[in-house]
Amino acid sequence: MSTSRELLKRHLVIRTGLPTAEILVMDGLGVVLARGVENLQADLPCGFYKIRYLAGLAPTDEFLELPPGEGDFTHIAPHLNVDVPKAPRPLQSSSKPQGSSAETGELCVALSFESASSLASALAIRAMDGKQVGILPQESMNSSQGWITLELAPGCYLLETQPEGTSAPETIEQCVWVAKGWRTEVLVPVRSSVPDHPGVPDTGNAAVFMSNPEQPELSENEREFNLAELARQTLGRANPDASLGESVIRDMLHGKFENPMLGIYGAYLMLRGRYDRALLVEVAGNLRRMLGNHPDVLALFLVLDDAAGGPLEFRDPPMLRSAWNVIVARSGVVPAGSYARRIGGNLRGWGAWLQWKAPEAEEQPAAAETGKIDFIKLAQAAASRGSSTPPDNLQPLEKILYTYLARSASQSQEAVKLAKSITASVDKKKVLGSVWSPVVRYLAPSDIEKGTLGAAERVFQPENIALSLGIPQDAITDAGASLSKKLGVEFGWRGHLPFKL
Amino acid sequence: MGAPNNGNAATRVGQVGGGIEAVADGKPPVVRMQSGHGLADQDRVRVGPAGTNETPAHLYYVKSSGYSPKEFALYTDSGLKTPALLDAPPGAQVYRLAAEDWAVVAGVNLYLKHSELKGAVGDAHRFSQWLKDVAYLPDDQILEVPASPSLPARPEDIRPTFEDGKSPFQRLSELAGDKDLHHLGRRLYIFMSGHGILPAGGDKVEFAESALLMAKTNLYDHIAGRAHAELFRGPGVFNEVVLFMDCCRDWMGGIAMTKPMIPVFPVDQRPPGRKFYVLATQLDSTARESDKLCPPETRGVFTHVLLEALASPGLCDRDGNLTGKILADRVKKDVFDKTQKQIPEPDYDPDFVFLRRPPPPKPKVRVTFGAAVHGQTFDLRGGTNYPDPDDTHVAGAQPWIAELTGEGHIWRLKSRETGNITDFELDPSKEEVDVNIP
Repeated sequence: MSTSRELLKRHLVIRTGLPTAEILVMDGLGVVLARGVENLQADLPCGFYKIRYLAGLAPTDEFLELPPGEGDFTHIAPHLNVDVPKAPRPLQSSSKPQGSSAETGELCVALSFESASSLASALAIRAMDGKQVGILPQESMNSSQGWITLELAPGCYLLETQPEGTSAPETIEQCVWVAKGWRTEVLVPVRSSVPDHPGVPDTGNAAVFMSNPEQPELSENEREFNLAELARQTLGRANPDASLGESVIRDMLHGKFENPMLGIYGAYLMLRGRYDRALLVEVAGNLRRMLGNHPDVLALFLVLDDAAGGPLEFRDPPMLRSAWNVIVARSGVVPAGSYARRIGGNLRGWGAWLQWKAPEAEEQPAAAETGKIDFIKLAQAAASRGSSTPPDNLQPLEKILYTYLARSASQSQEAVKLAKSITASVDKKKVLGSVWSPVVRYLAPSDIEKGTLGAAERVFQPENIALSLGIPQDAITDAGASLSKKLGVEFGWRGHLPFKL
Repeated sequence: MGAPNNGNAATRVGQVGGGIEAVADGKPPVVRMQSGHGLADQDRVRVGPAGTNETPAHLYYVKSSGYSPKEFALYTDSGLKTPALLDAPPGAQVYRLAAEDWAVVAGVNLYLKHSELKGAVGDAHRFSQWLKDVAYLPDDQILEVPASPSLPARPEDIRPTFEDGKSPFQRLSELAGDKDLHHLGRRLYIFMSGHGILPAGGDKVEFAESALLMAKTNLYDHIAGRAHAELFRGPGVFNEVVLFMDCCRDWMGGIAMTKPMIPVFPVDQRPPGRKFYVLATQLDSTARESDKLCPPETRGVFTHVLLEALASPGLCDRDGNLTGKILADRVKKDVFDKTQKQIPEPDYDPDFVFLRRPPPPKPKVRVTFGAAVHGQTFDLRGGTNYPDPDDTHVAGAQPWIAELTGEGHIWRLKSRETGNITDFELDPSKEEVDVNIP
């Protein structure tokens, strides 16, 4: 006697023991029936399934029978290759290096050779004033297990490398924060697009871990390292809604006292969903006490609109792109002359870490005079010159803004023109339409005209320009002011003047 | 295979009336079919095969009222005012067309500033052909972006230009502007293949974007597929929008997205359309082409897999629905299996139905046995009788052909003597799957 499949359901549990592993349960058509990270639980009809594990560079597939029976059916995944940089952790220093003091922190950096056999370009570590404080691999070859350990004053430092594949050599930078009394470990994979050829340090995929040198036993935890990597990879995912389960995030926030990076990751992952404000207040407060004015932590206070603990000012860029997104949307938080003000037009990459092309020394328009910049007027002036014929004397940031405004204006003008033409064509079909349409539509635009004009106007709002270009609003205002002068556009507030695109 | 329906439950498209029996010349010409045709006034039909570059298709509007169920008259306009001219032999086929469906198709192989591709134009052509032959779009509602077949004598004459890329969308805007509530039709297909980027000017990046570069271009002159699709979907200009982008999605920092130069229709007059979008690859990743899929021709892996899936009669649920989920999951899996690197990125409404097909026939397995297992008894499980065997067979020199019943797509053969198991999956493109047990 056959049994109806619908009646034969069972609870399937799959465990990988790996926080970075994604598990897919598929039927024979490839349709995904259930999905999980690290573990999977699902009620499914008994039968045969294809299980796909995504952890590492290649997937692992297996067939699985979910047989009829009582209770849960638990399946342990086969061994999976993990896609995290591999290297032994740095040796714990038995004593502080010479010259160290209670006011310093440690920065440990190592390279992890993966698909490359050797290194084509070096990885430099610089202070924010440009002074080199370390370079790999030269210095790491002389140290044990490939790590270099630097005793540094707390603050922001730059990791600097030259990636492959760029037509002109570009120096790419990103920040790493050193906190007083903490060790920051940065493990940079070395990758080559051609297997076994010399590679370059892929700082965009660096694993960053923090530990307390005084309590090494708390930090030697592979699970936490994998959890941090899972969080970093999730923050770097294309889908801004990509996040982890609430329990995983709470697990990270719980681990922040041993590894504050978990707290930072957890906080930004929490912001991707509906977050618990009280919990964010607690996490941000604890992180600030542990790490000082870490820009990624200060950006959490921007989210909370809480400046009670001190000014929320960002002279140095944050480590995470998620934190930068918070900063660029605000005005008055990136001071003139700061490094953070100079990087906006040069962002590179798309992963969790904020990366940029090293700015030229002079890449900074003067601070704007008081008054509002009329970006629409500026856009019209740029469009009338043409996007490909900017004035010769523009600084890089001004040129980026000029190109954006000129192109956006011409795109908007074309869309508005088409909207007007459609409106006129529709009106003409009505009684005496060709007579009344020009007058009536001047006073009462059609719904298409209104929608198109509204969309065009939004393009030129300063916060949208800032977000579209990834440049802080303050820098946009400065560039807009100097560009206005160079194009001969006077300041002024558009107020209620009719939109003239 | 019976005529599929392109997702429209109300109107069946495809062949009608069993072929032309006779044509009565006149103004208009009256066509007599071999059987009842079921056409209604103002239906669009094609007589004969879909058009090619050399021979245009014969497209008409039907007037059936006032004629017998096997007859209809043909006109060239939807107002049924201008009688058509028809020269069709007896036996010629008549197809009811998906008159409310439109498409924009672009494929670019040659670029002034980028490497040459081999398969993009062919892929676009094959997708166009699928639209005509299977989705039954009228040829004149497939707006193809022109592409230079070879490098022109003057490089600046290379096509498509940016104007070429945006003009089909502007034309659709104009047509929609003329319609009540700006509702132009049932479904819009957008297919683009060629070099692509993800314009990532800043942090307000549309991470789900994929933009096709035009031939004569700087990086700003791109057609952002998703942004265009959304301008027609959001205000309900179409009930459904399908987007396929077989392009790389190289991250282009510093290049802000070039916004569509089409009007913004009001979003509060009609419900938004439903979407089925599939990008060939993940963000900042490569979409590959290969000469191994269909040698010696080079094809884009994504389009090849997509068209294979669309041509697989068994790829549907038991009611014959090729749902968005089935198609998206299948394409995602097959592209990855073929490349081990490229993973398409789908985004669709959960209840989206891409095609309605006749329910597929029951598949079969053909098992051949090596001499080493001859005499062993094999149980076949995974079908209607699960967990009991659906069939049992003693291995011998002759192949064992068994019908596979039920909904399962993964099956298991197990030797009673040794306990060895062989799992296999059905191939939806085939009615019979081969399994060998050595």
